[in-house]
Amino acid sequence: MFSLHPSWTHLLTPEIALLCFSIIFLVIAGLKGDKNLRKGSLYLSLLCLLFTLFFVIQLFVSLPDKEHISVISTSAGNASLLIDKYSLLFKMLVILGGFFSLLVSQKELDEENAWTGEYFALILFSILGMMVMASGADLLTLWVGLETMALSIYVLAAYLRRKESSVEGALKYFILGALSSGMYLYGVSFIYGATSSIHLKVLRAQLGMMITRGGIENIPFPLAFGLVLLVVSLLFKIAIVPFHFWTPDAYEGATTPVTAFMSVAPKAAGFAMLGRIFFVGLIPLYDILIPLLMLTALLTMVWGNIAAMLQSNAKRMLAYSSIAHAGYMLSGVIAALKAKTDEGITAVLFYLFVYIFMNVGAFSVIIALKGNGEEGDRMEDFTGLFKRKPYLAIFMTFFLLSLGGIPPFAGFLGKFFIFMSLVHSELYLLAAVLAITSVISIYYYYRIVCNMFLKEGVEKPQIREGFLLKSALIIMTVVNLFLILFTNRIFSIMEKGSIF
Amino acid sequence: MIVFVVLVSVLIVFFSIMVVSLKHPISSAVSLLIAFLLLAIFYLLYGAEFVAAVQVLIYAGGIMVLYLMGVMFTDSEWIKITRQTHLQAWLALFLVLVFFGYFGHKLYHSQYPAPAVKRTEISIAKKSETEKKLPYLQRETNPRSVSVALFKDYIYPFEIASVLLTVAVVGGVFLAKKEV
Amino acid sequence: MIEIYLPILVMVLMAVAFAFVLFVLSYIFGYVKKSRTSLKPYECGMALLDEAEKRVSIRYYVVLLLFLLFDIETLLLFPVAAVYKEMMGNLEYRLYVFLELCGFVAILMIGYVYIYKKGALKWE
Repeated sequence: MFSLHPSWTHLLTPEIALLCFSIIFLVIAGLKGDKNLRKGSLYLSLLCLLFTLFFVIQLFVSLPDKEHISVISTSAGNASLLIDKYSLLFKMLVILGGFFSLLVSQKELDEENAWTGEYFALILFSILGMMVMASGADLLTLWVGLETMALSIYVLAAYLRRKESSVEGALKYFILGALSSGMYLYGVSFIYGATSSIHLKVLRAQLGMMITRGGIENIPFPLAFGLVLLVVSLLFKIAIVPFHFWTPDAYEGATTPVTAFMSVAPKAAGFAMLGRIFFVGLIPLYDILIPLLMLTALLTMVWGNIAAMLQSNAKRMLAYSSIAHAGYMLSGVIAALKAKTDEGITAVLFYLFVYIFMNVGAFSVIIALKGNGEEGDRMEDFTGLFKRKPYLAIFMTFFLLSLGGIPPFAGFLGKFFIFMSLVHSELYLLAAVLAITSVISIYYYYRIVCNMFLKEGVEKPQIREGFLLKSALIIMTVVNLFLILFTNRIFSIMEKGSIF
Repeated sequence: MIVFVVLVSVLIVFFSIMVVSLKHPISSAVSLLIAFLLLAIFYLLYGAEFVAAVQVLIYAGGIMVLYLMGVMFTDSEWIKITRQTHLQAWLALFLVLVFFGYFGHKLYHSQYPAPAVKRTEISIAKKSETEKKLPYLQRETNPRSVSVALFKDYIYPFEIASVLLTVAVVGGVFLAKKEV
Repeated sequence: MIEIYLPILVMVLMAVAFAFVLFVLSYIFGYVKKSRTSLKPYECGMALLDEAEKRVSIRYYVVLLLFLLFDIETLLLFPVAAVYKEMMGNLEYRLYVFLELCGFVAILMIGYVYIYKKGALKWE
């Protein structure tokens, strides 16, 4: 019987609120307002995201643990929208990522003279799409959320419309993204043809039934074909090697705050969707999924780190390093698949939380370096930074060491938990490769540190950051430094995001 | 019926090949239009009336205009000097034939839905005898099942789809306008 | 199932046949004098200004894009027609479906207001 949850308005408050907020920005974008209105809307958007975050946290606190509340059930009685702590945690991560990306975007928008209302509206719309991705429970809802997110981000990637590299990167991203969306839909149509359902629960039941009857061989060809397409399109969205080709160009071309946003929030949402599909829908297939995913995760970690070494542009380097980080997180997912416990998921959630602070931090230093007609993203732009701006150099060092996974910074904790989950589920090969590639990654992070401290730079005019960027840098540095003191607290929160 | 299906399929394949092999872009676009319309007939043959309507409205109506305008936006002088194929085409043709043969064979010999599966969701194919005697407008038809699915079961994706379309409008206007 | 489309098929065939017959008739009985004027698309009417195969102004792009998007929006509202009577008869779902459609149209209207305010429909 078709039904709505009696308190659906309460359960969907964050989404409804965010929709209203983004409509406000759309109206602001339509007004022929002066620049001050647009500049003020930055503060307004930060406030809106804080409100949404508040709603999510309030729901999170009031919800019982380990319960998956179905907000909408279809006529056949399947959930099509789930609110649980898993989805709420991912929603928090996505909102945090958006919040910090907006916090660091003031200077960039000033430099490029690109204050528009659409910037804020599109970021809020894409966050709305990601929230749908986090709580969808059927393949159609997930796809609509994915497309809402992706369309907003394609436009954001081309935000500086007059810059050729920006449009080029966005176009590459768009074409490959459209291809992967098409693959997703094609796969889903085969899955629907074979199982006559798009609900993950039903898919799981039927897969389980087929496998108990005759093993893996018993899965009919169309279903297998559809599942392959589905998994490939998911891996594409989180930029796993060999589906990563769009990443460096899109990241380099986009304006830096958007790059920071693209590297954290869609990744979190992509992992939310991947986790939901794998652990609710495809878990009976773990026998084949694990070797396949292991291969891609290994390739991702190795190639992401090696390619990052060869880059001469800091944004491209961070793009490849974000590919490598996606590989680390994917290993966490594999650990959870193998052990069938929440440990891997908790590690991934923790990693994503830490990743927001270190990655947006590194990008915000690049934003701070921009000015006087220079992009600030070449390796040479970092030379002698310690002489010019000592605290910027120190902050950048913290972020990079954190990304490299050196104790006692926050990044180390993220890697540590993933490593532990891998060891507990006896995936020693992945654990070893994770450790080795982390060591390799320190080499290219250290190159920037070396440039900043040891080399003599040319004299350059002073850079000004502005209040918001400064406060964002300070917040992120503090989190990176002192997170280790609150590890237990945050870990116990992340542990609540259970999917099993 | 099977005669119709085969005839329509052969025509679709023929016009699709025309799309890639004709020299002038406008002729290709018109072949594509015919292929789209034939595809609509194909959907009708299998009782998917709503999808057929979509095919005519969106593809034959909207997408075709987009293609034609796309051709008209670009300079057509280069067409006369460009070759349509190059050496890789033969390799590609070979690979396509191999893949097509394999997948076609596999897909042709599989059942829909898979034999182990019970139908759980809306069933369009199963129709009782009493229903078949009803006048057409009172039967459980394809557009009606689509509507029920869209307005009841999939209300949430339906609402989010409006957000998706709004984002598309904003993005398109934002990127195309001269001044913001 | 398929036989219910027979009237449509008959109509399409008749339309094609009618056009074909007219064409053949004018070919047989028409008097054609070869001249420059008779090669033009409109023999009597506006004089030709230019060639047809020319590049079109990119300004049409926005119009085209909006047309396509609103086309899709229409399509999502199109199924209402199939169940309208049934929906309005069902007291339990009447308000629910009505509000749902209102929400859908309202969000789209905001998109429309946006393009109107932006002047995307103006010729610049």
